[in-house]
Amino acid sequence: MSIVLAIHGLAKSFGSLRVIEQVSLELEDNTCHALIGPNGAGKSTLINLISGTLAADAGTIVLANQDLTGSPVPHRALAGLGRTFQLTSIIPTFSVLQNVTLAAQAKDGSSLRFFARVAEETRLNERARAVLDMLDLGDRQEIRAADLSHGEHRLLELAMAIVAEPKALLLDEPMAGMGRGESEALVETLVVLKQSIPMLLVEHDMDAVFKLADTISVLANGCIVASGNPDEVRADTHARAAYLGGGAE
Amino acid sequence: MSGVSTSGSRETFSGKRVDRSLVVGWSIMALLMLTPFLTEFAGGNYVQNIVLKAMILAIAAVSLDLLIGHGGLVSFGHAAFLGLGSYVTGVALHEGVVGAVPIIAMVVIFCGLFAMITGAISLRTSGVYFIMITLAFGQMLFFSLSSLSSYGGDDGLTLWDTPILFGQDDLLRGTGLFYVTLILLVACWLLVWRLSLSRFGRVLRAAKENPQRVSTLGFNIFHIRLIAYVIAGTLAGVAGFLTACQTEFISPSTAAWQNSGNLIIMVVLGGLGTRNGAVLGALFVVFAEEGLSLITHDWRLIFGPVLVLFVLFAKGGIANLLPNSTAGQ
Repeated sequence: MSIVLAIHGLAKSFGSLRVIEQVSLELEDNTCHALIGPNGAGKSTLINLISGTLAADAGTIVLANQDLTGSPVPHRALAGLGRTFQLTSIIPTFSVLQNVTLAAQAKDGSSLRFFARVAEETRLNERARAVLDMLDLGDRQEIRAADLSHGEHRLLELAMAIVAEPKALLLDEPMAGMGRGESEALVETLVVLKQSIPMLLVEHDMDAVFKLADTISVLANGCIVASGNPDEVRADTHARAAYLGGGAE
Repeated sequence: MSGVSTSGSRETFSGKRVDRSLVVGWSIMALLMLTPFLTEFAGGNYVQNIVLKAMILAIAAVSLDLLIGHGGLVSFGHAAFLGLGSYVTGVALHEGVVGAVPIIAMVVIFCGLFAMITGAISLRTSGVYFIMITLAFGQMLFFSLSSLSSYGGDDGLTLWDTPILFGQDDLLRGTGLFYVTLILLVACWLLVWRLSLSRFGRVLRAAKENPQRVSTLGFNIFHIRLIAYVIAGTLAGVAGFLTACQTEFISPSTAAWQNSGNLIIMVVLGGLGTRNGAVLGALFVVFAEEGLSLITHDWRLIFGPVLVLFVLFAKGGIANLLPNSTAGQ
């Protein structure tokens, strides 16, 4: 299998606090690589470093043979790095459909079109509707995004990330705050999705992680203490100490 | 621009109501078109001149709404473009250039360049800092204009000519100027609304609400905002050209920060990011100013509380008080 996303020696300090130290990991084609660890381990920071919202102090980020180290956020997104946010981040006054077409527009031609009505662009609308249908939001597309339920917000967040067909997807706690039924449905969706879009998943829901992940890395105090397939990680003593057996949640 | 959309209505999610705001807008424009006839019966030139002044400021306000209403960029230096536009016009006339087309071309170039340079710096900041830095650039221009001693300095400069448009010297004065201004206002009003519905406008409006998300989707927000800033500055520069034509006088005070504040008041009172808000706001402020000053010299004593009441009780602005007019997406 080929490696889509390769992180090497990533480091980040806030003042004297070293949040991420020498983290390296690889994401292979058609797989889900889950990142677990106790609160404050640096998981979200790592996602922010990869997506570019935070600047790394050291290390390299390579996506599909393209070096993205030091590239600005929009450039990384256009290169094929999609992400979702831990706290829902959408355009609240736009309709659901408008949120997704906005995302589709980023990689579909120029946004410097000043006169044609974007709402009438069939191709953008069709692509957005296809993704919304896949996530069971098809009948909610005309609703103001702010008026969706929490679970639907999480799905919209995901729809905005995948409509641009990213080469790799960074999922920052996609199930956060979801009900059991909702998160089980989302896991089913992601299992299908990972066959076309490889994903780096940060998640606290261990059931979801063990159902989805092909590789699991355990992050503790900014370092990866264990990495391997789910069975290996389950058996690993470092991992148990850091997280699984520690009752950190 | 009938706006009646069969398949389109599905996308606009308030499509029908947007169409009604279009009717309101065209009604305002039709009423403005009739003003020179109506003022023959009452008010005469005095009223026509007030309406003309309101229309010119409406062009500036509509352009400012592109920044504040659609882009969330509260520029406190927008009058600088009015001032620069009027000075380019006045200086050109003073130096013997009388053709309206070359003068407007110069206005567009100067205001566009000024917007590009100051915008490229200002847009590195946001929020309160953006307000302060645009104010600073506005004041810089104000003092620069005041120091042009060969063009009247502090006192400004009286213009002895009007620009000539299409070989006619009466198109840019009196009733001719009234209709030229109305045409430009309609064009500006349609343009800004059309921009807001385009791909460009969608990114601009999305970045107002959630810049972080918009940039992680792959958009360069800085570029989009800078383009909006240049468009808005250029349009306000054209309003400055019309100001010079109307008053036959240029003065640094056009660029003063009080004028920038006035434009913000118009946009906010009218209704941010709505189809007709900026136009309604400009008409309302100019008429309130003229009307109240007939009653009392201290008209601001009345206007101030009215402003407060509007901000407290009519948050959507005048455009949202009209039952059939609304902000469109």
